[in-house]
Amino acid sequence: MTETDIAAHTVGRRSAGSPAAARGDRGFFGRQRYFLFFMAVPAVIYVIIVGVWPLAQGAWYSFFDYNLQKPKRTHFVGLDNYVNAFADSTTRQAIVNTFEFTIVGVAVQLVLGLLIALMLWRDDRFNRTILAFLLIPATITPLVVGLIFKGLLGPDYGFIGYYLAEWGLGPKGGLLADGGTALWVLIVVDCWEWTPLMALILLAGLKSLPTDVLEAARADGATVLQRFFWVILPLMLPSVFLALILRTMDAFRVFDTPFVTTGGGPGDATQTMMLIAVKQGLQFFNVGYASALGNIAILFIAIMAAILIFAVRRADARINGK
Amino acid sequence: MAQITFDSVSKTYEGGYAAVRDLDLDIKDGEFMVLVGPSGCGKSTALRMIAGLEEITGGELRINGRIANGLAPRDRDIAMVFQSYALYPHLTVAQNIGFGLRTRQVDRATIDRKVRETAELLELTEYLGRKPAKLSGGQRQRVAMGRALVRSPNAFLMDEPLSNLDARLRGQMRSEIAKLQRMTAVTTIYVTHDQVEAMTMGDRVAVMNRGTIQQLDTPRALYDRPKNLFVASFIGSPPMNFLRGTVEAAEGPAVRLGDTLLRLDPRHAGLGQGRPVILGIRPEAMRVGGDSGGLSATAAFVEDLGATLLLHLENAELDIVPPNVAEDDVDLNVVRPRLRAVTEGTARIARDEVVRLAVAPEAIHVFDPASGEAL
Amino acid sequence: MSSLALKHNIARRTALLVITILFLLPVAWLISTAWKSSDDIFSIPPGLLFNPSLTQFNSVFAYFDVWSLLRSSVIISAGTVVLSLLLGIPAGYALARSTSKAAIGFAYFFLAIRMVPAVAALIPFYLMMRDLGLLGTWWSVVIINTMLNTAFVTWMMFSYFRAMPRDLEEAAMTDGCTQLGSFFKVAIPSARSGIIASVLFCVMFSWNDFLYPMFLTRLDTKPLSVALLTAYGTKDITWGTLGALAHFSTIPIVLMALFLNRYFVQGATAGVH
Repeated sequence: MTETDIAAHTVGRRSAGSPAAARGDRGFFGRQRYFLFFMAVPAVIYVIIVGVWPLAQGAWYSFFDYNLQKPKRTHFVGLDNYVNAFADSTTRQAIVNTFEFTIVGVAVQLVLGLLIALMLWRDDRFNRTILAFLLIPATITPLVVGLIFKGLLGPDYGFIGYYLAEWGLGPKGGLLADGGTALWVLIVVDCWEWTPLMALILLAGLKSLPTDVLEAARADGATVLQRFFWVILPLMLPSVFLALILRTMDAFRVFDTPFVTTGGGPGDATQTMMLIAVKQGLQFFNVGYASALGNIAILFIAIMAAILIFAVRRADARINGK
Repeated sequence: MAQITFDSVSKTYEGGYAAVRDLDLDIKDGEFMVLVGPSGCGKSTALRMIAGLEEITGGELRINGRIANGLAPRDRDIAMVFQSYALYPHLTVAQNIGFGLRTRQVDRATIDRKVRETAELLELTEYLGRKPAKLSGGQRQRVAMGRALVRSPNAFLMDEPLSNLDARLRGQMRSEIAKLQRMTAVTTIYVTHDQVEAMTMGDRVAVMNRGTIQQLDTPRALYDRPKNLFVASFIGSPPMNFLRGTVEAAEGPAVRLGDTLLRLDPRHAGLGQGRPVILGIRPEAMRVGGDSGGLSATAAFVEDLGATLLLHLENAELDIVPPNVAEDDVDLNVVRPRLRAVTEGTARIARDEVVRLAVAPEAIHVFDPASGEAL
Repeated sequence: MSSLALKHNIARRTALLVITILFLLPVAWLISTAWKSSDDIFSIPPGLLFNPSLTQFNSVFAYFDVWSLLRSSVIISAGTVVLSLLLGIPAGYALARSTSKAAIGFAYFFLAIRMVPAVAALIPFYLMMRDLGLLGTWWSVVIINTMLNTAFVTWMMFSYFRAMPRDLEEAAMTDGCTQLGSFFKVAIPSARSGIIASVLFCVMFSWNDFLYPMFLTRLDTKPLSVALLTAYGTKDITWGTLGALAHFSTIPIVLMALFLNRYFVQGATAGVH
């Protein structure tokens, strides 16, 4: 072969025959995309099969009168389960209780949590230790929390309940036995359990505030209160709302603690949506009705979350320029 | 309007690190005082001590004669411009500027008027409704200035306000700031690491290093009569050349450097024969050419800066001391230190060309090698 | 410090100490109840001082097959942790490193799983397990726990990886690693603290959860959390016994979170910013 032939041959091989070109234009970046895709797929599929599918089934059942003990009598009832839910006084009371519990509880936790966070703002060993111990209530099994307070408030042997009864404070039979005070007790217990966690999230928010801006406020002559209301709080709003979202979602779905503390009583005073749903579904096996209740709860939570997310976005935009 | 005095002021952190040591400084009312030095020298700490953002651990700070150590920033009535500008991200430009007035409960109408006036002064009027996120770096810097200017405080405290700007803007803002200060006649303390800013803006400049003031003087005096090696090497760009030599006082004060004998100014007549010294010669003081009685060196590298040529010269027989202005500044010349000389851009000097340098005796600074002090 | 600042500091610390003690009193009560003798527990008036005794712990071992309960709790937790990490860490990484817009959507999808009340899926899941013949086994609990924890781990590792700069992985790849290689050799070691936090939360959740295990396990596969509940309803079980049982079902988690506090904090504030 002549030199020109060899040259032409080499050039031709390089431009047309390489493996990357043969695969089209995917190459490394295409491989990367597939790689990431397949890393995420197992988790997504798993969650869909184990989580979304049963949920969807549940939603489906909510349109049926479906009782596990009488499966043959299942029939389609459309929105009846939902209508009955709102018509039933116990369920209505439960809805009201759940909202009251959530809103009051979360509000108190927010204010107290913010106070604690402000006190813990400086980063030193004392504060870190205090925070670690303060978080203990958040790590205790919610069931045990319920038992603790049931034990403490019992008028016979409970450390708090006995003395309250002795001194004639509070209702006869203890705070948990009276319809008027029982829900408040549950709210207090929830605050006991979760205020420190709220403080933790808010503390993280405080620590992420730009320190030079805070110094500028001091240099501009702002007093402590002025700094708090005009600078700290506005800049903290996104964190505050995020903390609110998390806590609201959890508070609305509360179950373990009231289950063991009051079981919904006395009467219906501490009935919550979850308590009723579980009772209907797992005690009376009214799957259709229970599913409807669950879906209503999801709807309420979704609405609250949507409102709060909207608020987060608005606060964020306000800080980062509209 | 304020007169500020540091009386033996110290700042020692827990753990023993002393950022500021026994600082004595008297800032006159209406003066533009610049604190300059390498990073870590304590200049920002000193500024923040005036503001009340750093607690003083020793000595007394007096503002207008009153001891101010324990006063909150609010009670010192100072206005500060931060290096990062520290604008309130959730407030508009107008609200940012007016913040310091709002905290002092000035009435709404007055705030609006003053904000408008200040905005006009700084050409920010069309941005009054915007938030900092939507502003350019230069605009943000002006808002930070506006926040300080809108009030009539005891003092303006500026912590490297121009270092985040690009070079061209920096030059513009330098003259703006100087102009504004003259206009308002408010005592201003300005911190920078850039000696060009220090020299062009200050009435007096305090050169600081390791928590103490090395020299406090007018810019001219700092350039002409540096008190020690540190100040001499810090002020002036390109930095001063340092050469080791021994005194030969036979025919009037002179110093032997290898083969060369350099004549000194008569004011150095008292130096003892054989005494080791370090000579300091500014690059701009070296004249290229001249016949005999000067230094000669080979041009290792020629930087053409347009109007001038910056020559990097070597001479193995001269004991050239590398300048070590700041310890974290790695000087690439340490292995083979070079001399720097500045000459007109029209001169034709090629690499490896041997060049003769003449220096006027008045332009030679003499330092004691042990203490670093000027002789 | 200046004297005013010092006074403020003392006041602040005192207030924090008081608050902490108040918050810990109920926990102290629980612990003390488990270590009291029965007489002390039911003494009138109830007091805090007592002679430590192991009576309650003895009765716990008498009434319950503690080792079996422990074994179940451990197996369920371990299974959940392993599976959730295997599924969640790659998913979190993939979503964080992906350039497609759908990635953030999926991340929020995982976050939204938290919104769902457990009971909504319980019965359908129960039926699913029944049909698969897995009722009463540890598997059923592990399967459902993994679903919830995978969502949590994915979200957590997503926000963790997103905050981690790609520089190290990119350096590894230019040095010759494949994408997978850089994931194992660079990304995972750098994410160590996020992973530990994930493990902590998975264990906490599995150990403390009782609703699903209550319906999905039988006598021999029952974990501690369920035993606590069934014990409460039983007539012979006293507060002391419950307190002692709670030591097994709760104190390990409390101690774990206390010692791994740094990771607990990280997990709790994951993705909040």
